[in-house]
Amino acid sequence: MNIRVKGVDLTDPLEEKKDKVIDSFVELYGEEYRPLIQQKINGMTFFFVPRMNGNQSIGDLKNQWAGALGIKKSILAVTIPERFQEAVKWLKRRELDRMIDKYYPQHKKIFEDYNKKLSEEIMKHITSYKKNLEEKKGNVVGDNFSYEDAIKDLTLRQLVLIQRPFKWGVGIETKDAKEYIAAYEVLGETFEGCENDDQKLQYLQKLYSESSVNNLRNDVVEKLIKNDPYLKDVAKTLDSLDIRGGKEYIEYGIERYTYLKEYTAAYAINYIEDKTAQLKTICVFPDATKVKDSLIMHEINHCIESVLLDAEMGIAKSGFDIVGCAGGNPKPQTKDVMTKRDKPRKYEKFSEIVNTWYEKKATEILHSKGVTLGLNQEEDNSEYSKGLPFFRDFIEDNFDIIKKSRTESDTKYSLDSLLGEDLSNELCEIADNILIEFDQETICADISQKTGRKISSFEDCVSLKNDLEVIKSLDGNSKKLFEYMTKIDGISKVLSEKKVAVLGDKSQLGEE
Amino acid sequence: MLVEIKMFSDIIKLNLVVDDKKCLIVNGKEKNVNVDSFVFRLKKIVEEWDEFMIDDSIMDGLSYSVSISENGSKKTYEGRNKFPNNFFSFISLMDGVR
Repeated sequence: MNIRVKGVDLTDPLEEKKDKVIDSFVELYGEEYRPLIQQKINGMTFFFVPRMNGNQSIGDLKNQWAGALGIKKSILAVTIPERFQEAVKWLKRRELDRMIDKYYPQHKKIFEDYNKKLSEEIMKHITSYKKNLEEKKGNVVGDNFSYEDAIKDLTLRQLVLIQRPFKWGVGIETKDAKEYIAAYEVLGETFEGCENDDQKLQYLQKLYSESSVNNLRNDVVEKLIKNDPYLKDVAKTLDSLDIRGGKEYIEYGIERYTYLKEYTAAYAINYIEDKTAQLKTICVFPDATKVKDSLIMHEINHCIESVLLDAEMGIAKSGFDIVGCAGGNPKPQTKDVMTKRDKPRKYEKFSEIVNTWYEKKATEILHSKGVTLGLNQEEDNSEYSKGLPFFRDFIEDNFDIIKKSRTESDTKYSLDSLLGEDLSNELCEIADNILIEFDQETICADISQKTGRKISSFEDCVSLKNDLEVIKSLDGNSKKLFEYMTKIDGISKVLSEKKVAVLGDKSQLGEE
Repeated sequence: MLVEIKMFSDIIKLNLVVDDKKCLIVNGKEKNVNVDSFVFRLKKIVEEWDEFMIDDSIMDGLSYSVSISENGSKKTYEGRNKFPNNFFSFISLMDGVR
């Protein structure tokens, strides 16, 4: 199934543009890299998740959910007492309101109204049917709650106890104790051995199994995702790939990130093709609306740079780091194992900053050819790109050796070998701190206030790195940032000297 | 008690701290939330977590860490591209303060 949105085929976004994409990377890497770049890009698979159909009606959504949850409409009519039907519908929607936030924001207002009505409905039922609750107690199912049971045997007790935890995702809270205790007592239930509200709350918290709610939510999410027509297509494509170890491992990642689409725009996953024992790459874009050209080029460069080190063990190299591959065996899973091997992915942040440089250069070249790929042409503003101003000179002054270091398995090109462990660790620490610990807005405001200049980005900060008057006036993290710039320059010089010994004296950007 | 949460990806940078004055600060900005309730929920969520989870085959993606220091002891939970079963509850909690 081909899904085309805004002229882009979401199952194959490169299409006839693939040659231009290859040419762009060749222009950046050099002609001698063409065979590698061709082989890598031709072996890539793309998964876009296009949950962006603004024309989808509520009726379509309801049908989709009913199908996903395996519920027949007739069950509602037969098994639920007439007066509860409406509330059951509200409840069902409430469980899914986070789904709406993520996937169908255009319908959010409608479902906010539904949620409000849910609360009103529940309170109305509590008041109206108080007298009849005692005889209904016999219908209460046990605490091993399942969706099917809830549909068949839903009672007011479950409505009240379940609706709030579903909204917030965790158990009954202290601040809501009185509400829950009252609801439970209204149902005619007793708190065995409880003498005060605190004990009653603890009783309810035990009674209400949080893990059952989490399992239920996971179940609902998985059913929804597995019944999504597009993701069914993803599963079919995965079936067609020859993935060592099976598709399940990758499928799980795609499902998780479909739900976590607000938390990452893209990722790449390496796998070993079973018959050829070659390393191949799947790129996943959990939200098609966020797919920029630069993002696609970023993931393609991850693919170009990935080198298989040990097919049996499933160990590869990506950027400057040693990584695993789907289908590899064994996969290091514990911190102890990872720590023994090395500090896990110590280069990750620095490596991503470097990859962002590649991404930007390759995208510029692609655009200069008049080619675009993604659905969104906004400028790249990823978190990684915030670190680029500090390392741009470092990368461009040492591009030839960085290129070797990232595409070859020979350890003589590793940064640890070239710089020594201390300097390479320092480089990683600087990159980690700049990306994770330093807030661009806070630092720019601090520097602006202390220097009287208008500083609005890290790019502006770097432009002042030789201004001693400015540096003298700073303290705290702002001062540290400028100290980092000096250290990066120093490490860059060390790398420049080392590369002459390793590559000879022929290396300038694009001249190798 | 001190709580520190960090999340990082290509599109997310979240640094959350609950300090000893019970202030909840997200990316340098104090948030007006019920800190007791937040910490109660967080503790309930992470009690099921392993200390370290990683999917080592993914480039980019999401990394996270949660550390809770209390009464002289510190528990830390870290992960990268692999998530506990109740991670959606954690995301729900973070969505409430972001």
